[in-house]
Amino acid sequence: MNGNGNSQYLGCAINGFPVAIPVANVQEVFETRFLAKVPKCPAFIAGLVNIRGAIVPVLDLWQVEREGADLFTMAVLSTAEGNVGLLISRLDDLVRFTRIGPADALPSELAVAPFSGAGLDESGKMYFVLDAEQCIAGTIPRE
Amino acid sequence: MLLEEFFLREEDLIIDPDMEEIVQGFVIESTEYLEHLDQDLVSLDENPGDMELVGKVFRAFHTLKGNSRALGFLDMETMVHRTEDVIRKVRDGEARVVPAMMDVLLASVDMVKALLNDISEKKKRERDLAPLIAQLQAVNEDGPAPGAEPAAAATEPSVAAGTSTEKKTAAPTIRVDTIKLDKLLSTAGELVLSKNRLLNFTQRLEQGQAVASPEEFLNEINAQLGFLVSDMQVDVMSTRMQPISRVFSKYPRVVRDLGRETGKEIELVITGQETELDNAIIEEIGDPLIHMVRNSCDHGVEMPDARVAAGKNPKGRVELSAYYEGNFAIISIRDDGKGIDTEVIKRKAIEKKLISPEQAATMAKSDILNLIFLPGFSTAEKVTAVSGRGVGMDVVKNSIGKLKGIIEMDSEKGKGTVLKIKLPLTLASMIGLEIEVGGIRYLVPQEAIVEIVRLPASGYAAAVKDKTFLFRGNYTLPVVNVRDMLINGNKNAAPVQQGYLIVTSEVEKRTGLLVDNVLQQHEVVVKPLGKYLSRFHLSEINGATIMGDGSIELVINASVIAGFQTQGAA
Repeated sequence: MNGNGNSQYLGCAINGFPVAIPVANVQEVFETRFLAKVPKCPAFIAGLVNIRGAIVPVLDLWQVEREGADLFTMAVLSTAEGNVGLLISRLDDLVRFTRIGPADALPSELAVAPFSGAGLDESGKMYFVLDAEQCIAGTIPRE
Repeated sequence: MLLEEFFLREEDLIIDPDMEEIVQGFVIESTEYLEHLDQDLVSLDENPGDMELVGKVFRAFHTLKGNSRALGFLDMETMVHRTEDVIRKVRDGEARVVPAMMDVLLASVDMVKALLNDISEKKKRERDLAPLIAQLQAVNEDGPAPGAEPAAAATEPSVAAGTSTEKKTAAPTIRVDTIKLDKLLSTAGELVLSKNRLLNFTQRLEQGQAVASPEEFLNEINAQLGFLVSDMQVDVMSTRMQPISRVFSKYPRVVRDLGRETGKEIELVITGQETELDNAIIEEIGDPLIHMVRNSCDHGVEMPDARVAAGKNPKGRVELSAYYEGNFAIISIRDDGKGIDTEVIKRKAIEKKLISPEQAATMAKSDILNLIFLPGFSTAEKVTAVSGRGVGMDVVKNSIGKLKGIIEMDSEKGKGTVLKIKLPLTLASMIGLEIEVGGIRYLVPQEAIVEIVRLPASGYAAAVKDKTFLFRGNYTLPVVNVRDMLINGNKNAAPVQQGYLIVTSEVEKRTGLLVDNVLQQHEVVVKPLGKYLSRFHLSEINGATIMGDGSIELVINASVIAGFQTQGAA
């Protein structure tokens, strides 16, 4: 089992699956009604969003079902590629893990992005831990 | 070496934090002096008798010496001091300017630049000044030492004039004319006054006081604020405008060195140095421009004997000029060299399978010349250190494309070549026409638009093979369906009877971009799409802007959509 029990994670739901993103990688959680479509992009690029004057690309890696009425909810990840929004279904809460380890089996619905493992919080709920940096880097086309 | 110099040398690059601002100022000022010195020394080389110039050069070295001594940069001071000694003798009529002396002086300037670079980066590097100082001394005593090669330039290629590494040492600051700042301050003052009037008005409303004709007041203050804000925008933009001399000033040195290297005699004539461009363009234009200047000297201007044989002045001439044309700045590079042989271009293009022999037979001259801008095209018969090979004009064209500029070329065999770069004055804001395609709104830069045709237009014709054309009056206009380009991803040749054609042009070519609707004009600030999206090479999109209501609209690259340009800024 790996350590890292002191780090905080952003607990959220993606199409019913519990996913945790290291807080260190999350700039903010943002909601919007509109995404500006970008033509000639892969389908997973959902569009652009205006976050206080900054133009941020938004990714939809899992054809995320929206739970908050007509709002898009995203975790804005701070990565080597700049800030990138990642659509999620719902924001849950900040979580801390008592145990973190490799995920035995990742549901195929989440397979498009790298998960570094699974974590158990104090109440015993399990989350899949997203590797935010790899997640964004993995979507970049190879030169 | 004096003991005193030795001691100070030990700690010469430990900069007192309190002194940092002063040192930064010193670096900026010295950089300017050195840039001018490069230019002035080259002029002096051409006019050895110009005593006024000698005086100017002497004063520059003298100031540099004083400043570097005052801050304790003793290596630099020593170097400048010895160089100044040489110029002092010229000033006092005890020595004459000869090319060999100039080589040593320019090498010294390079060394001083290198030392200044160390100061700017706060890095202590071992630099052996002794050989150069010996050469300066030799020049000073009895003319240049026999067989002495200018040392510094050879050992320090990274600081040779005009190389791209110079950019890194330049402080991220610009000098702004105080007149511009005063204007900005006065506009800001007026803005505060307007704000106070508005504040006063709202306070009276809050206190329930009667306000006479509030609508009229709001209209008036709105107009006033609009006026002031756009004034302020212009003022702020103007502080970013920098004279092109910042770039041009490096070239006399480059051309002189090239001439010495290749054995050619080249006169560089510069005009329009005061032409101002956005700082962002000034920073980026240097690299493509230097490549073009080198090309003109290396491939354009012939060797003196060849020029004489062709009935020309043995001294070649390269003209570098900048001027305004409407909302654009034009930079042109003209040489009176051997020109470009279109037959050679055709042959090479066929060899490289860029065009077929049938195509070559029917191509217009301008199209043949444009082949030079294709990736991998090079006509250099041999590879030279001066302008290299193969990474030439396509890279230049792309760099200029990224600055939203275009490049045109004309050449006449035996007479010379002219290259013209057309650049927007600023990259920060633009006027764009809002259009609608497939329910999404985009902006087209106004400068790309020649005319707008509402469909159905008279004489609208259908598809020919896989392309759609509009036959209009005395010309035929190829039509690109923007919806297909942006959304469907395939070129659909079906004729569309409704919508608008945005006619765009580049170098005598015109194309109509078919869009669903044309809305209104906006002045917008264009932002890049960012690092992540730049990975996807969306050449059709120039950037994005935030509209008044907070929504994002994309700015399309009309040139790429029209097919004039295959790659561009993403």
